[in-house]
Amino acid sequence: MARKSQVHGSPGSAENPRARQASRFLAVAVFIFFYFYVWLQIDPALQYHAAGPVFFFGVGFLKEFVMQAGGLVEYGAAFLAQCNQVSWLGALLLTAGAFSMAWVTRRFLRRTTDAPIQSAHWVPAFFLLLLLNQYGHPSWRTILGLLLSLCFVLGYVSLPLQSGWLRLTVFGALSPLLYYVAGTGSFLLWTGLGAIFESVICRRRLLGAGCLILGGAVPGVVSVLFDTNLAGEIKRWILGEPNWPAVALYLFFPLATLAVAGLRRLNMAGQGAARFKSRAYAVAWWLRPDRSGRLKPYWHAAPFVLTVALAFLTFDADRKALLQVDYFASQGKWDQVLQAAPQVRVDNVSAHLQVNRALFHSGRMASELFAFRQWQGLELLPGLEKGLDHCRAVSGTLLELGQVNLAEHFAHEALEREGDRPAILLELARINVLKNRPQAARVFLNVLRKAPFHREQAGRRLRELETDPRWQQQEEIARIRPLMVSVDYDDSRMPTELLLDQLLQANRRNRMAFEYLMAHFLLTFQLDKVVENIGRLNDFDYRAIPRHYEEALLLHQRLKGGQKIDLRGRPIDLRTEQEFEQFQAQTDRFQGRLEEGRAVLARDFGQTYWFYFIYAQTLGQQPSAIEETEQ
Amino acid sequence: MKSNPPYQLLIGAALAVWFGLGWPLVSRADAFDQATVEHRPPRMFPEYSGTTIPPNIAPLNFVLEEPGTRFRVRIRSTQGHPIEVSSRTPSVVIPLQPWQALLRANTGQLLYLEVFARTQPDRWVRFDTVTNTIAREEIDGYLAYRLLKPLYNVYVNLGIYQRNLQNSEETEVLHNRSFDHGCVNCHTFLNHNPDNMALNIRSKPSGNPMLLVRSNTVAKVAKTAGYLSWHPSGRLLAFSANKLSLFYHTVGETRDVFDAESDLGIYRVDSNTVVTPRAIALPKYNETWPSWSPDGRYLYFSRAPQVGRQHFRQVRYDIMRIRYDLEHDTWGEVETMVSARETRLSANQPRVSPDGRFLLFCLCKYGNFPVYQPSSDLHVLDLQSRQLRRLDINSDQSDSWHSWSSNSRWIVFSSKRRDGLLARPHFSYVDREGNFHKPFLLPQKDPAFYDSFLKTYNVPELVTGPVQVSQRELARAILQPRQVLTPATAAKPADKAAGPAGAAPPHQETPVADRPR
Repeated sequence: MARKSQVHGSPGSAENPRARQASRFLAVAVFIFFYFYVWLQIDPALQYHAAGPVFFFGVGFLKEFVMQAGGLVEYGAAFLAQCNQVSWLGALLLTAGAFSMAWVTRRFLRRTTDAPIQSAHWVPAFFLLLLLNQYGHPSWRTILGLLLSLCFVLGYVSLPLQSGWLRLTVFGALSPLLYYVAGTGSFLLWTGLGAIFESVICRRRLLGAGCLILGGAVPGVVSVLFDTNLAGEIKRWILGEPNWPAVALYLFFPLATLAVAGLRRLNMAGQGAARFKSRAYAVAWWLRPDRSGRLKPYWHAAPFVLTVALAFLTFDADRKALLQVDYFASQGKWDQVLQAAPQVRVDNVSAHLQVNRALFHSGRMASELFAFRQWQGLELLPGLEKGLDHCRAVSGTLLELGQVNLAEHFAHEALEREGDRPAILLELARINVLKNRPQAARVFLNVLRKAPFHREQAGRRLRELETDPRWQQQEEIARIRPLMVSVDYDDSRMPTELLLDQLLQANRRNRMAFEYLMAHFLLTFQLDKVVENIGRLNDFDYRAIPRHYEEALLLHQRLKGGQKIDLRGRPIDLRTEQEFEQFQAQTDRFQGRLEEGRAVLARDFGQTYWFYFIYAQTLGQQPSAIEETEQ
Repeated sequence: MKSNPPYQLLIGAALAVWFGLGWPLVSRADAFDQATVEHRPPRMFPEYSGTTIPPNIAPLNFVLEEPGTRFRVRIRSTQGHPIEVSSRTPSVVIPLQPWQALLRANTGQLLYLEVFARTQPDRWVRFDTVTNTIAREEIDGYLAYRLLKPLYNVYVNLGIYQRNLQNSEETEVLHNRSFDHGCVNCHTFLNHNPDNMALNIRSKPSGNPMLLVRSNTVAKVAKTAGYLSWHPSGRLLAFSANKLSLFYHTVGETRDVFDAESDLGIYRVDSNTVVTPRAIALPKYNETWPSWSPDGRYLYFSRAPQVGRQHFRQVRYDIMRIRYDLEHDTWGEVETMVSARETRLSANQPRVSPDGRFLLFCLCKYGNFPVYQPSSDLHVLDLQSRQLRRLDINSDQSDSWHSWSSNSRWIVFSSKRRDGLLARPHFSYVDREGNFHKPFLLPQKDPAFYDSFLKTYNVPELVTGPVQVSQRELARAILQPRQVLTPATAAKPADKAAGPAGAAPPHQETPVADRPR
């Protein structure tokens, strides 16, 4: 029964001290790289912001998971994902998850072969890293599901049972348990590995077939007994694992098992490469570790270097930039939004909304709007015709403007689409307080109180509601309340100008509405309206005409043949006039060939309204050192 | 006599134990019995006080909104053992079986709740006794409803559920996760019987069919319908075809619905045909909210002249009824039951009590979507005396989606009275004199359930038993139907169809994105 010893292996017999030392060194290197890469490059807080599943303490939330296959793993994954809200903690746990996976993989591979497996057990961790690069993947669900599946497999292959019937019985008994706890993907892996182990490693083909049959039968039986939709379960799993690192992660284990089975046979053959006919065998022969476990440096260093390179190459920098903009906006860190904005290389409605909010809050909207990416056709307050991704961003904008009802609309769209995310719950609580529905606000806060890391904040807000149902002491509520519209406008569309005008009708000192309205006029080339509304500057404390308004006024003057505009006692800055003359000179130079002059004009005037007026977009470079127009 | 130190020690130890442990216990007991009387009723939620409850209702668990470190509630009636509930928290959870026994033994009697709160270690407070009445008549055993969050255009997670009203067990009838997260709505039962029901589906992959369940066999009907109502014979369904669009207000209630065009039709189940009798599908009028009388002789519905969207505030519906002869398939004349001109309000959702005595409906300021109207109130028309009155059980928020129990003694309706946003089912007892008693909220196992439940209860319907057809069967009927019925359209010469004679009238499909929830 030589096979038995080969199957269960002889730990330590195939490695020497140098190999162990190298292995430890590699482990430390992997740990350091993995942890810091996840923490600083990926940033788990952004992961959570992108696709963090919601989690709530309490039986009610748990009940949603116990009646579906894989529900318990999803529940555990949702809990662990909450730690991503604290980046260093999330990175630590993810690193621990990766190491756990490596450890279990190593144990499993050593159970299936006595050949030294060198660094093969790190491969899943590397794939996991590549998976984390793709923001939006439910990584903890994958980690827990795989870990559970591997632990089950490890336990199964370690069984000292020799009887095929007994082994099949154990396999059959464990199968429904794993299916229920971990779901479809993990169960398929368990079935596959069990079948491979029995039929290829142990050469018990009948038993392997039995594992496959049981693997196919269990989900079907469970589906019938518990009236679940098996096709839906499979579809849900497939749809939840769409990207290649996840697929590779699942495929690694059966392929690795088959590979070690093949390597074991090569070792047993003990012949040189020349003996084998096919190139594949020759390569495998060259790559195989030798019996003494003599160190082959490339076994350790190459995969590590390759993974580091792949990690950086496959990193989704665009997605990170988008997430940073949204994340910082959700925290009210407007300067950081504007720092991240130039890294966004795709036109994204939600990012656009957040950048404009940031511009307003940092007092730069009227002077640096066109230093950031703007393009014709995009509304400042887009509706659902632009999709659903921006619901949260537009809700926040509308709320700050004072359009509370419309903010409520989009907040509810976001709630249904994204789930009971803390930020949305808090926003709906605010909205309901503003609408004098404190009891409804309590419902949202009571839900929020059950979310990890939000209990204290929710509790505090609830206590405030008890004594002050209108939250009059809350700064944001106190700021918004006077801005709320008082005249009803009813429509299914969201005409930007009308909504902003309505806000100014309700409160002419609504600065945000004013700046957004002027921005709207600029973006839609309505220079006449910029001129008509320039007098509104007197409702605020602007000391001078903001930069972009000056640019528009000069342009308007030029287009109207030099017609004078009443600036209500505010002069246009001489520097702006001089720049305009330079701009005119340049455009005259490229008369009729404006596309040719685009690059030149972009270099010198790419952040001005004039450039936007001609080319209907600005490219969004780093804001130049424009002297702030004092307001 | 010599002193006996061991004996004295024993006495001393006993006294020490007594004063250390026993006396406080006695003190606490005495303190409880000597509770200070607080001359007011306890604050509690839900407020189960002064109501009339069915003898087969689940425990009315509640939360005491009173300060205290310990609470006791004694529940008693004329007969049977009182139920004592002790709790360290304000949540009072009443054990099921003692509760059921107590109610069953005391139908027609008063139910008393004596509430105590310990405000200090040795001080108990006793509140005024809370009194409710146990009705003689039971309520139907199950309640079916749709659960969904306050939705606008996007819907991901919604479903139809059923609840055993006797023990608060809730199960899914059909959740939209089982068919690609489409929409499911307008579930309606034949004569309160769960074995026969109809509901609508809206699903991009599977279309907008109706599901027909008859004796627990499911068929997919390739017919898009709106609101449904079974004829009591089970042989036909009245349905509406609406052109609803959702729009928003910047002040007040955010959501609103405008019905641009709607007609009624009849789906004959036995012959799988659809007809649109002219009388209930007049041009220039919108007919909606069909509802058969229990004897099947009348079809009640709401009707209003068609107007443009800009006049939505002027849209006011009358409640009409039209006589129908099932055997001869003939229709009578339409008569007005509730006139918008007289009420100056819009009447919707007519539902006749199973005993044929009352017509229950909503009146709101305008339109035909009362759940979005805080002004919506329940009204009743006595069909014998033709007296119309507003019910006292209304609130200042939307009250709508009412339905009757099979014995006409209970109604259930959805009310947003607590917070103005989330509708909760409330029950009211209707006595033989036609008085609608103070409503009570659907009880839950967790008394604090509603404090953190974000979903709204929609279309609550009382049924006599659980829906037996499985969710799998219903989902399969949507996704991989064994039987698809494609109704033929019966030609009616007086139809308002614009096309050739006999062509189907142009029922407008409601744009999916615009349909309200």
